[in-house]
Amino acid sequence: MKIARLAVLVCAASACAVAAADDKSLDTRNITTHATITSSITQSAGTGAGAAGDSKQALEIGGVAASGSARDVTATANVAALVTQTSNGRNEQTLAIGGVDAALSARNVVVNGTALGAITQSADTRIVQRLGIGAALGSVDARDVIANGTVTGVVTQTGKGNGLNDQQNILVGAVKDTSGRNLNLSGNVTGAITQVATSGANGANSQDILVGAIDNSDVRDVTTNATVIGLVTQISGTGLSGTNRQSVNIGGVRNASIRDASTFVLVGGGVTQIGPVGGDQNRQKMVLGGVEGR
Amino acid sequence: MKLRQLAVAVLATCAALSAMAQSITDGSSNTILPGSLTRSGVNVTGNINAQGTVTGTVTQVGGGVGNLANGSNTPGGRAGSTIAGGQQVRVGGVAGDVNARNITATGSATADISQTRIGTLTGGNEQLVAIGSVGNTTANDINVRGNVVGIITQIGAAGASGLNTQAVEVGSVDDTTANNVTADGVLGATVTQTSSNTLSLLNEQVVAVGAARRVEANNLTLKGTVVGAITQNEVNVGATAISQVLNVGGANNAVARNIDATATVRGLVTQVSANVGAGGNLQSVVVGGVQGTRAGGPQN
Repeated sequence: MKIARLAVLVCAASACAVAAADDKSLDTRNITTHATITSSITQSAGTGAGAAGDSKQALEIGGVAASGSARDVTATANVAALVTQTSNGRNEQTLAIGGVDAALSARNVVVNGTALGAITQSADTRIVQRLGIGAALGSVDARDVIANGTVTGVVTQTGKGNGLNDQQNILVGAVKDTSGRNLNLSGNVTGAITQVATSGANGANSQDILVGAIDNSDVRDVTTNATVIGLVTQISGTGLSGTNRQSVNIGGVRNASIRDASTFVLVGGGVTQIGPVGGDQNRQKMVLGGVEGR
Repeated sequence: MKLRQLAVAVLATCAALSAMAQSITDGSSNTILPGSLTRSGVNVTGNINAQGTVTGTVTQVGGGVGNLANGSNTPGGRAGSTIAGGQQVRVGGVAGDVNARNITATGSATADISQTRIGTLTGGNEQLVAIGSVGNTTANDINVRGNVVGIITQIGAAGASGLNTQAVEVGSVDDTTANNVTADGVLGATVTQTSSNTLSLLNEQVVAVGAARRVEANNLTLKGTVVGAITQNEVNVGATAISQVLNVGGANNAVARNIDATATVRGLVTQVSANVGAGGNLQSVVVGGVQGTRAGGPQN
């Protein structure tokens, strides 16, 4: 009986810990963050079985990952170091470098992120990975959004397992799931960005890379400016797979409701997508300064 | 009695094949599949200025076993395609249920772009490279310009294949309604499309340079220039209703009041359809011409 009560208490405490990690609500006027990292940051977890998202690794470097409302948000971060998240279990990994990753309502949002070092997210089983550098994602509602992201280092996401709905997202000076009036986006990549997903039996997985781009948003005026002189690579090396999606959006507009759009893009590096070896309705899409519907 | 029934069956089959061949004699299918023009997408009410430049290499590799329905989820490539998936590269340009006032699209590719799909059983797959082009769009004025100096390669091969599309669009307009359309495409390099399958049905290869397909406009001004080489290869065993369409500075299946089509070809243009057991196939080339187009309307 005591053992049962103890187990209940342990479970309750564990649930409270997870809830506390998620319970970050804001009601503030101005938020200004500024972070500079020149040393290394590592998160390592060896979690056991559980549904994807049961465990979470969250890392905000000058980032805002709290839902709520604010008037002005300015997030700035410069990383010239090693930043690593690793997990051996089912996990959700989020990493914001000078960005916003939350359901946040604000008047002005300015995000600036620079990555000079090696930024890595890796997980062995079912995964949700979100990595934003000078980016806004997670349902941001703002009047004006300015996003600037620069990658001169190496940014890597790797996932390995048997996930059915794995997601890998890397945003550089980009926005996703955002409502706003005026958006000004700038992304520059002179380093390397790589997403790798390998699995024995995958399905409905997605890989998204956005550089100075906008996706799934409702805004008025959009200006994008993106330059990629480095390497952008997506690899989905799955065994049995279906409805897998690979998307590279550089300075483009996709899935958005807008009034005026102006895009300017230069891709001088290599952009590569390698799809799975099987499966139905797989999609490989590159939008390089284009405006596209769903 | 049995001989009469057999004769009727043969005649019915011939009639069906004839109708199928006739439906694609204008270089494109007139059948727009449901949803292609009504799918929710980008909702634009203002102006679009989309510019893209590629000087690096772009590579897409797909395929596999049982690789089905990997076609376009975004209208603008093969119009009417409603299936999800495919391989698409869009440099500059606009596509996908867009309703805008003015569109200016500029695309340039000076490096190589390649798409490869090799599988054992494939169907409904799409390979699209669009450089400074507009598709599935409604606007007042559309001005597109595409320039390609790099090499574009599309390869599709499978044991059994059907409803696959390979499309390259350079400064072209497809599936679009507008008041004024100006399209200018320059191809200064090599475009090669290769489709090789054991069983092949209803596959399509399209190359459009400064061209208009399935467009409704008052004024249509087209200019296409090919200095490089364009090659379309269909090598199949058992191929039916395969179409190869090449349009340089021309109008194809369009409705317009005024059409001004100009084309210059100084390179090699080759269409090869080397099929065993083939029927109902089409090879169409338009150079500064008009094919399947109704001039004189609309009047407003």
